[in-house]
Amino acid sequence: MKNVGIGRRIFVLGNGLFLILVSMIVLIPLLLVVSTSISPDEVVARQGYVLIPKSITFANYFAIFNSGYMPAFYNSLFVTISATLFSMGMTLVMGYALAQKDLIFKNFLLRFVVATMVLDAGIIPFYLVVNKLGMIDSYLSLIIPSAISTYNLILMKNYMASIPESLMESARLDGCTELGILIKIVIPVSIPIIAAVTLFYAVSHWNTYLYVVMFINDSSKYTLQILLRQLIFQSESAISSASALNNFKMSVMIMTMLPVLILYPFIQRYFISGIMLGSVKG
Amino acid sequence: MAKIRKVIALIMVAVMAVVMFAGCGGASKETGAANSTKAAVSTAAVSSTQQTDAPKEKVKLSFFLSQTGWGGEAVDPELMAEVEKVIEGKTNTDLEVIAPPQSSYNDKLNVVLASGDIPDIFAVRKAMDNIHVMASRGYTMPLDDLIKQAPEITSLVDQTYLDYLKVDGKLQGVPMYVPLSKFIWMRKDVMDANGVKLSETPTTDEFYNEMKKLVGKGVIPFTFAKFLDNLPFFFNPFGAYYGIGEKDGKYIDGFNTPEAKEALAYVAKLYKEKIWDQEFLTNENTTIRENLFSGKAASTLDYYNRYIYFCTEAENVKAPTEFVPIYELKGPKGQGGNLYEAIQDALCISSKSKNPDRALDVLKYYVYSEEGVKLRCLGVEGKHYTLENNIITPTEKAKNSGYKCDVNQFYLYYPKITDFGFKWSETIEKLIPLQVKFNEETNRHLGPKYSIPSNKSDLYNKNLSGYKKKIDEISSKIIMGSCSVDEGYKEYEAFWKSINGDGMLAELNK
Repeated sequence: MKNVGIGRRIFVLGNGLFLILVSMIVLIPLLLVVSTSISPDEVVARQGYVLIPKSITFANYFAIFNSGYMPAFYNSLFVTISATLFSMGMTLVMGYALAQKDLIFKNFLLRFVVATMVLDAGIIPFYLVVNKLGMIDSYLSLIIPSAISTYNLILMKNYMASIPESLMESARLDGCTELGILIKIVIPVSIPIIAAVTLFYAVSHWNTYLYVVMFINDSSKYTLQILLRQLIFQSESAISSASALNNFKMSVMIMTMLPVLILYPFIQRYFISGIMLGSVKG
Repeated sequence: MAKIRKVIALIMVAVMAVVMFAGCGGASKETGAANSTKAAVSTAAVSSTQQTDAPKEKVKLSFFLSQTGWGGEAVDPELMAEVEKVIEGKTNTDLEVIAPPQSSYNDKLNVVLASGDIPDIFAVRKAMDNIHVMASRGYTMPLDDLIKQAPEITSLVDQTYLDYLKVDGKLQGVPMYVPLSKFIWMRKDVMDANGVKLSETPTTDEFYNEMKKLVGKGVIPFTFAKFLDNLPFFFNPFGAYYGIGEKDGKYIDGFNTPEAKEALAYVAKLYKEKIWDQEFLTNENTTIRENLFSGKAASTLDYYNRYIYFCTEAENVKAPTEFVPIYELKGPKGQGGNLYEAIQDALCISSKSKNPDRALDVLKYYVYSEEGVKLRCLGVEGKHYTLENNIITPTEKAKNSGYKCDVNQFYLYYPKITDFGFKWSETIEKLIPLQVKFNEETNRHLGPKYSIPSNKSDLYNKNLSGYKKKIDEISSKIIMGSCSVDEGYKEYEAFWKSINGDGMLAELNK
């Protein structure tokens, strides 16, 4: 730092202060949520929000765990894992096919796929289709109809299109089948995009709310998001007389985001790089 | 080689497309009312001709009611199934229960109805507004003939309330709750500490002058939720109506009257003087309740059956006090009235139901019988609660699934139950007589409530939602002082013109 000029130092200091400020803007609400969730009900009700709790209780977390959290958690886990696997399988296969330069009707198929991004028929026709397919009240309704996200498919297709053709040509010369090329060549070199898209799908399926409400009738099949929303709503009910304390809601928030929060740091680096990689070639 | 690749790629896309549409041609699983009633078609003729005392054949019915409508609001699937089992046993039916979460109830109901999969029995929220839409779309079955076989209902429900649920003179549903109303609840400790003296029916001036004593005392004098459709409590004293109302047998725009302007000016004064909660536009119902029972606020507007709730919650947060009612404010001309919501929710029978009489049996038992109401409010003994030494205790399972073992629930339903067959806790038993007094007294202070038939004017149907939003918007601007009453009404008149409001009234009055 000896040779660094005063201007540069002020710039670095300013940058640091700015970043601290931005971090505070993000961190303070999060800390408030955590702090409120572990504060006793009566303290929050009387004194409002505090960053550092005066006393700590995990009563709200116990209440959540005892309120059917685990069955709903398992339902969510099952839906997320199976739907993500199915989505990835579909996206990989279709992405690979659409990445082929000489695919017959490629442009038509691509336009057909992209059209679904802007043309949304709405929930009633969607419900009718799912109903006609006999999937109402079945987890299939949460897995199959939303198997492919166009956005993720395009990311995958673009990434695969950027893989050098020579790699695949040499595999073909060695007698490898198309399925073999996909499994032995394309998938291993597509790990970053696969990780990113898997995360996108997993988060999206984990957070699914509307489709569960619409397509699932049996409340024993409800996922975590439904249970937690219901717990909050019960405490807000207009005519019932449940106690509606903010710390309970905050605990619910923490429980909802906890699984994603735990998973995120491990695959965070793929999150951004996946998008960048997929967006290079159109 | 290139050809092979092309073919393989095409096959891959085709396989994927086939997988996506797999099952299109398959026989769909039978769900919902239309299908469930298919199973019952063969028994329909039998059941419709059965005598009431003859054993009825078991039929399948679909019942669409929120997740919290099954035994003390417990949402545990096993506990819900216990309640379902009891209803099935009592009515000899096979129920297909569809119980969406309360927060998404309307969304799911609308989708299910629009898809033609109309459940045999379904609850309609904000029924006085929505029942007209449901009837005009052909979702509901007129109940006039059926209700004649149901003295259990007609003896309990006042004809006025049934009339609210008529469309074109035909009854389309039955009320789920007793008529609801709201009034002001005040904390006695704050009143006493600040020398606030208010009767149960003070004048608007008395209310203003006394509440002013609380300004700057570290407490919100009057906390109000963001829902401006609660404003009628403050419109009633001035003889105004918040929305399209009636005067001399004709529909009028109640919002654009000198009385409504006077009412808004009064509320704006309360806001300006900091008597009215300065944060009201962001307040949820839960916020105002918490404000009151925790002592952050001195008063709020809430349902009449809240007394026990406020007392017990205040005790829980170590801010105990007595709560006193202000049933209505009296205006300059002596007018007034509480916030009368009349019928909130109604239960309807599907126009496609093959067994409407059996659907009515389910309603008669679950909604209108003493046993059914106990089942609905408390659940099943041994599953939801236990009785030890005649005192009711929720089971662990119930406690952990949102169960409310709450005497307040009973005050929402027909019939009135005085003998519960057990004792509540000592504290609650002490509070019950006062709560009952408030329940009865509020009915002597009912404000006006008009039901506008939605099938009379296309303009009304088209503009209703926009109209409600606009009057809320103008009201909030005037209350918060963003514009004067005159400026607000200038904007409102331009809006009224843009929706052809006069034409709308003409159609309604035809």
